[in-house]
Amino acid sequence: MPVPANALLFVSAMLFTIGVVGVLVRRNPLVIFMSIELMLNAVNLSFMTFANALHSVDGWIFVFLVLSVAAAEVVVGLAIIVSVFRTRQEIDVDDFNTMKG
Amino acid sequence: MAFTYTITAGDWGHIAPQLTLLGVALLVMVIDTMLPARLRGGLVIIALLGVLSAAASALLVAQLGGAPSAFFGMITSDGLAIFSMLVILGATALALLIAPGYIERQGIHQQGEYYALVLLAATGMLLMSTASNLMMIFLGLELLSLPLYVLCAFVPGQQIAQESGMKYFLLSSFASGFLLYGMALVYGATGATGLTQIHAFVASHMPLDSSLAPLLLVGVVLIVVGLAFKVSAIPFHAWTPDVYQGAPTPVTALMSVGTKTAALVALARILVVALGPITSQWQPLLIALAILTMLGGNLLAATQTNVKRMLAYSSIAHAGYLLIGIAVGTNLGLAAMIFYLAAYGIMNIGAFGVVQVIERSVGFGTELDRFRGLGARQPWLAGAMTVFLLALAGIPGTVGFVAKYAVFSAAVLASHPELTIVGVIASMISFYYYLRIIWAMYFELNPEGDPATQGARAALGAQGTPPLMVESSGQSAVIAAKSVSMRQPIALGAMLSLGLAVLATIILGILPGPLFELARQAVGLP
Amino acid sequence: MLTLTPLLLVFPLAGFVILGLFGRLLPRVVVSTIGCGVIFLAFLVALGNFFALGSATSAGQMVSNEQIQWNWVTAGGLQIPFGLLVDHLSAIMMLVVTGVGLLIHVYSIGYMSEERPVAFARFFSFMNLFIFMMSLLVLANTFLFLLVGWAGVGLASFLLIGFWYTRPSAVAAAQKAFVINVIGDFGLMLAIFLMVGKFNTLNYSGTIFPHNGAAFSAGEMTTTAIALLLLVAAAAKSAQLPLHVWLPDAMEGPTPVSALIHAATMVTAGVYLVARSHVIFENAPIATIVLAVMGGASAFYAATSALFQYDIKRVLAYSTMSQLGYMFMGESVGADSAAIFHLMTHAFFKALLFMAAGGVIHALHGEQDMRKMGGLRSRLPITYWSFIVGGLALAGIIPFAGFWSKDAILSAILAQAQTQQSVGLYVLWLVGLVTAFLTGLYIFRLIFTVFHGEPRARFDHVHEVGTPMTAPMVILLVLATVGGFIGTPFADAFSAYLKPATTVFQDHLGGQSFATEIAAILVALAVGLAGIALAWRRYGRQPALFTTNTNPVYLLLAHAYYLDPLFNAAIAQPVLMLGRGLNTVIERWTLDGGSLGVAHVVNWLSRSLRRTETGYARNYALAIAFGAIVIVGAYIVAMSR
Repeated sequence: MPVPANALLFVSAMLFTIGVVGVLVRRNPLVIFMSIELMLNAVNLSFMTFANALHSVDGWIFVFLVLSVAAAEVVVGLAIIVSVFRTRQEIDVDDFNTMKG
Repeated sequence: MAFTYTITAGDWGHIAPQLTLLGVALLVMVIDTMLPARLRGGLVIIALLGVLSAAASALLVAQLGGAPSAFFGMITSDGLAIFSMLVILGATALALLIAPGYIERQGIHQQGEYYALVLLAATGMLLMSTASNLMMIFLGLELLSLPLYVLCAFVPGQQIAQESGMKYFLLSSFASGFLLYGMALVYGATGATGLTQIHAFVASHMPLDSSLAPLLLVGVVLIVVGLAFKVSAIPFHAWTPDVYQGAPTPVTALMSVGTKTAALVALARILVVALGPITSQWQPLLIALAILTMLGGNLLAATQTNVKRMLAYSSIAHAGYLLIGIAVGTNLGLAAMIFYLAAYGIMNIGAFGVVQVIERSVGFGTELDRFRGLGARQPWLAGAMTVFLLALAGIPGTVGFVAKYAVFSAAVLASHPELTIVGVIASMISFYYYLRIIWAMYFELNPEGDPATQGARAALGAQGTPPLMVESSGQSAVIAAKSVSMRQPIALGAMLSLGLAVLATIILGILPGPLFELARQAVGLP
Repeated sequence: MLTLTPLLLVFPLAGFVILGLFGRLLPRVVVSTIGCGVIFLAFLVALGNFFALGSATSAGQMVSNEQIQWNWVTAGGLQIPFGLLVDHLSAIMMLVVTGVGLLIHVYSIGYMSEERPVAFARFFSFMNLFIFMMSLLVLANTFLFLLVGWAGVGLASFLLIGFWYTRPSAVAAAQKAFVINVIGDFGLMLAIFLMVGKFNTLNYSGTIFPHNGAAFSAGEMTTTAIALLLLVAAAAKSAQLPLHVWLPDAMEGPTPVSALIHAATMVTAGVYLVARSHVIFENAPIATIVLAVMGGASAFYAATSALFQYDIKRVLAYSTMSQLGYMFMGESVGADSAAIFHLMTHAFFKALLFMAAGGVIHALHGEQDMRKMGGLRSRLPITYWSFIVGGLALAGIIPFAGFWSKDAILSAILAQAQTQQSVGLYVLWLVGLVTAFLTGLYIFRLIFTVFHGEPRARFDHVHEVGTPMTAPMVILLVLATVGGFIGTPFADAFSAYLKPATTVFQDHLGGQSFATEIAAILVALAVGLAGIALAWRRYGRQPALFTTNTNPVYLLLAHAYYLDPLFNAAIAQPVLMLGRGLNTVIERWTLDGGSLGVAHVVNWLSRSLRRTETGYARNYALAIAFGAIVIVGAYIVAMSR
């Protein structure tokens, strides 16, 4: 039995929300970044659902794009996080507070 | 489903500018490994040549004409694309020119990577401003963002640079999530990702029925949120000052102009071109964003004492003026916006160009104090800064005035005088902080003292005596030595860049006709 | 001849550029030659234009030549051609700007001779910039370039007032002037955008020149709004209530700057703007009333304020404001040509007074406090006579220039009051008369205090200034004496010349009888003389010096002695008290408070908003998420309704 599209969209929205909340409440950049990945994958789920429902190939292609971009983001993001870790030894986004006002 | 589209040479021709930049970026990286360290400064020349040939190929694309779209409607090379590509390439060239002296002073040794990343970011900007499909817009956005994350954190061993890169990376990815979700919803509502197809779908389903409207409109709103982040519209602006301050100044200059251009053009394509039929639905949102951004940006800037940070806030304010061009929803508005982008590119990069000369270490040493007495110490540098600031403030005789005038009158002609009124009020506030810098440069004495003003005091005391002779000779020697150390050397490239920007600011301020005509043609106005 | 008009802009601009870039390298002589030379050349062109147009009028044609039409921006909805407009109004304005400007430039050679070479060159380059901007303002044929000149004049005045930037007071004054000017620019800009919306063009020919059929419908909201906004601009530039606060402070600039900016050119821009756009005001009755009230109130207020000043230049500054009030009063009843006439004569005698004041200050080594002066008459004869002539002209005493122009304005108001049977206009006329009385009082208070009596402080080496300074004074002295004869009520060549460009207003008393006119003239003359007499009574009579005086003023006073206590009790004292009270209230509570208040609000808002910029990425992300949720929520609410 195919899962109804609405249910999939609902799951996708929930995942996206969990990701957003994760970004807002967590302090470790790695975990924040994981939450962002969660948001992206929630969107991927939406794309797949729409593509299936609409019988359109665009959504599938978009998912591939998002996946590869996310991979690139991981590379760059981890590099930045690691370089920060080397100078500070511990990382908490709230420590990045030199510039304000 | 059979996929029978064959890619022709013409398709590749359409993305010649992007390909050129990409190729030169790779070339820079390869050559970088082969050059001895002392010759690596020459890489900027290769990068510049790359930008110039990309600009030439963009012009060639415009000359050849033909079908304005390529790759199955993924890419377009219409007037808007060509014009914005030229703006971005011009900004890149100016930002490259001011870079060499700066990155040397900041102890950046990986010059090859720096230039390659700049070129890659520019490639992303070009891609985004030529994209006519949601996928390509997203791809361009990420392609421009990824190198910028690295570039923001590029100054080694500086916490402020790391902070800048980290904040930009996290927040930008976060905003991308919203953008992407919006794209998914729009795709779900219309069944297409190509802007032309979306336009056709929406146009044929007017008025929107209740099953379609929520999905489409929430999708559009989220797309606007994602792009407004890149444009740094309030309330999605908060990252801007921190990231701009900590990034190497030439990168800040490029970011403030290039990213804005790419994001605004993409936003304009989505809203004005693809979603033109539902203008009345998105217009209130854009008007609200523009008003908030104009007022908020200028208010936030008003009490800044760090000039680099102040320019960051001022770039937020200018995003507000730029958003007017989209918010009015007319082609004239778009023409005014891209003209404003060109103007803004010139004057803003110029202003950042002066800041990078003054800046001691990244993000610091750009306080207002450092500008005190600059008019006496380095008259040409102060003169250039004056021109840029007057232009940013929109004083007549500079290109900034023409740009503001174009945008505001487009708003009036589209029966949105409220945007004009708020814009004018916001500009009045901006006079306050732009002129304060000019005031500091010419009318305030440097706390450390410099011979010109000391001399003025001495001359008031005893006429006819050469000023410095009045001081005891030892003291005057100290003052002279200090003033020499406070003179910031200006690298040749920066001098060239600033000179070009000053000339362009004034000439386009007096003779804006041809450029405005180009901008009008670019959006297809007769 | 008219084809040379662009040179009016080119010459001063060239002077500004050359002196600005290379002035510091050039010797003083070259700097002053270039600085004055370019203005002289511009003056020749202006003179040529003036006469060329004059001969055209005699052919009985409406002449308005738009020279060099050049499309600055051409683009469908946005057509901005740049052109120069030479009509009778701009020709006269240019004559005043370049003519009086030239004399002031020459005067500056002497006055600024003690400056360092760099400052000397900077001064002349700024002065040339000023003339350039003013010429642009006057010659523009679209509101857009009027705005360019308008803002440029503000900028140049800012640079000149703050010229001695090592003095904190000069800096503060320059900033104040700039802030107020920006308020004016703001009004003009909004007016301009309203006109863009209404007419889709900014050319005078498409907006305010009625023969082109542009429609300002009477009493319409937009028209009134445009007129009121123009009024804001004019009030700021011409220092009218309540935007006048910058003018007295702006005396911090060097005296030639005061003469140039605050007498001859800049402050007249507002008068010019209103005269130029009189079509708008004709169709905006409310704005016209505001104009009349503003002019009358400013004239009276400034005249009373001038009574209590001890700084010799501040007296003149308030006097400028008061005389500008007259011009606006004239314009409010449609007597544009009388207003422009007064503008011209005022430029003559006020520049003369400023130069003379500069001579006094120069002779006393920078002293500006009148309480320390006195008895300078014999030591500074040329300056003294300049003051006497300038003062008589200012007070409106026959036959000096100010008499004819002030009379033209007052009789125009009276005529309108009689035709319309309007109580308000009678009151306006009375205000004009009272102000004329006060004018005589304050200017002769200044003259008697400074030049008569005993010296109140010791100054060494008090001597008359040199030729470069006296020569312009002598020329202006002649002009202030005879300059009014071109516009007498008996043969009004001036308004005849100006007729094609301004409101066609019935000359002077129009249908009224000659006797009424003469009576009006005599009344105006009498109050002026009364003012002088009172000044003589209060400040001039120092027995030790004046026992053998045969001064006609003194004799007149002696015969009319019984009037004096009456004046004192019935008019002078109440007026003085009222003035003093007004002065305190207005200065403290509204004007300075207003401009400061705006600054405080902006600062406070800025600081509060900056607290949102916490530096925590978390908070920024929250702002993004919150913004998105609010917007999405708003859309969902809107859709569900």
